[in-house]
Amino acid sequence: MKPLKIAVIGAGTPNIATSNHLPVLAGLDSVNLVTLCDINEEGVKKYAEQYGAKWYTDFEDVLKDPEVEAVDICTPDWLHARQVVSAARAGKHVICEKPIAMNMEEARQMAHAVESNGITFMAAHMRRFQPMTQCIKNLIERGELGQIIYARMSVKGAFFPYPKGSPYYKKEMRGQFLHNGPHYVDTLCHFVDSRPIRVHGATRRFYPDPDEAMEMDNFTTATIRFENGAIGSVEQNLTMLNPRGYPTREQIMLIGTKATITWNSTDDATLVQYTNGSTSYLDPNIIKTRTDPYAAELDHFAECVRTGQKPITDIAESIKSLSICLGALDSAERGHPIALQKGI
Amino acid sequence: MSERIIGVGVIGIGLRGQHSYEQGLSRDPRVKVVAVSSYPDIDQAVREGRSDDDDRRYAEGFEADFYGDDYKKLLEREDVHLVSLMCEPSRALELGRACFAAGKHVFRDKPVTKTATEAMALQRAADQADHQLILGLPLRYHSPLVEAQKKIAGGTIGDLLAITMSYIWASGPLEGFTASAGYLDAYGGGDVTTAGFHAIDYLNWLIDSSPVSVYCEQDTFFYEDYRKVGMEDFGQLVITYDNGVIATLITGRVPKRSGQTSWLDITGTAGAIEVRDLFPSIRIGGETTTRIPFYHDPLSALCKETVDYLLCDRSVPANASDGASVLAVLEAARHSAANHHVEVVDLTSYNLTGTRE
Repeated sequence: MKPLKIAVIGAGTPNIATSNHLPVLAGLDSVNLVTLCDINEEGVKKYAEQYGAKWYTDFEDVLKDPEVEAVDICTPDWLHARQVVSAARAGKHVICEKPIAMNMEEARQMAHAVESNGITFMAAHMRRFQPMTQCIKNLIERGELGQIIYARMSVKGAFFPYPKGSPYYKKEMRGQFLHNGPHYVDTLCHFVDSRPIRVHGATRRFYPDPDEAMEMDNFTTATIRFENGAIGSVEQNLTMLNPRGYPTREQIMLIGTKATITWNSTDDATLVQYTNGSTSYLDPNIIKTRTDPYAAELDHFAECVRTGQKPITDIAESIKSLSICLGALDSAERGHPIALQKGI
Repeated sequence: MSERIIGVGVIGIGLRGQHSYEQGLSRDPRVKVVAVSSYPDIDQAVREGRSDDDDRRYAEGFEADFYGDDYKKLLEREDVHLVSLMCEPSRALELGRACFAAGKHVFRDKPVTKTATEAMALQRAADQADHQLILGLPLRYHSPLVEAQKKIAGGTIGDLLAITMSYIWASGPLEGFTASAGYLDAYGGGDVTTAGFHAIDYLNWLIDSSPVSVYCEQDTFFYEDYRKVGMEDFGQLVITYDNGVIATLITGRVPKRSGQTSWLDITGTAGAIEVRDLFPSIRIGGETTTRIPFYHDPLSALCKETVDYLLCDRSVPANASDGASVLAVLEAARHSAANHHVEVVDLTSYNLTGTRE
């Protein structure tokens, strides 16, 4: 299959584009990196030289480049919606990091742009491509668990601080649950495979160092009810800041009518490394080949563009997880659960 | 109490007789079950298939001096100091009051009564009679949970921020049990109520603050007889406390094949505590995997401490007021689940504070 010619947007500083997307792109047959884009000229030039690609500092120039078939949007959250809409209008296919938008109105505009311009859109929910996620999904599809009646995803660890002065500290950014929560919510929705009908959220905050305090809370728990009756629970606890060094622990708990699955990233880690007083929990199943979830998602995206098939995290699926995250935050602010609308 | 032996009278053997607390109490050499009685107008639905003959055999197992269906005769006996009151919650206030009026202490299973208001009335009856209502809450004696409570009360992890607890029964319902409208009316709820009662009490004890609101999603997922009468078997509660702690509780009952998943995860401002398995076991791999549980028996610890307290005339750790706090949360949780609202839990309306003296 002809490789998809792609531009990576937001590739001028150490971030998800430069740390995760670019290293795997270089090893993929399904995708050809043609250009990078970032407002940081010095940074984008450096990465472009490293990966042998062109570079731009203006996103509009990327959209005018006829060689570019698709854009991989890794820019700050608040730019996602407008860049997706612009790319769709320019006829470029889009893979976009989470959250796909900052609010539901932006999401609706994106959906309209994707639909009316006939492009392929995929949200970069790479957790769906993790071997463990795929293993569990496979068990569910084979009926080993029966019907899922309860699903829980949680992460507990330290809040990941942003650079000083970053807009991510501001309340308008909605905090870590909008930034990272979509990963866990999307995986939970993938397991439950039903329409969410309402969500309740509760939050609180703990930042021992006022200098790194965000304006939003760093503990969020969301309770989700699905149309098929299943109860979902997503907890993002990023308050483990004192003492430092608490190992980030992710947990999955699925209760089905036939069986229960539990997994956590520390007890069930396949490789544990103790060095200099810190502990790392590694999954050696993830290596820089097609089994890397970033590589697998880019492969999937390229295949969808070439074959016309619907991506596993298309616009409708992406809006589903976004609506849960936004609903949980709204619920916490308003003090009552939020009914989730059907469709876009 | 001058006697060194505590005489126990059992009222309500037809109900939950397979695991009643008098069995734990009677293992203590300072305890003798001396009388066993039924009580009038028991709803057959809550007897779980037990007959009068089953009840008599149960009494004979204790070599009790008295067996009958007139509980008032049991209460007249001077050798009965403590009544193990194993009736359905909807009858507990009426029968408990009779016990206190007769000058007996009362040992009570959960749910202590059907409603929080009844629980407070029962506690008032105990206080007026200057006798004790001991609420059987084994989780307060479950060693890892006790240790967690001690560490939190001692400030080991600073101020509490959030707690998540999974407390799920993965066995039963008891043989012979069939859910019915009568059972539901007598208990007020299904397994979120019964299993959740233990867990909510533990959370209240651990957090030592008043619950102020609850959000609940619950449903009937596993048992057809539950479904027919609208009785829940599983759910999740998010309880917010006056001190800001957010507690998430996953509770209820799942079939044995689904497996036991009970754990506790506590976050504080200076650290975290995890009880990764409330019921730890050794797994032996072979042609089939066998699990051998090795946790200690919290019921024995509860019963021993109850006897210790009664012999020393000391107040017991958990009484009907604690039960009322739990029932207030459960009542709010049921309203929340039915109406999809966050429900306020107002302990002051029951003259409860939610914190230890």
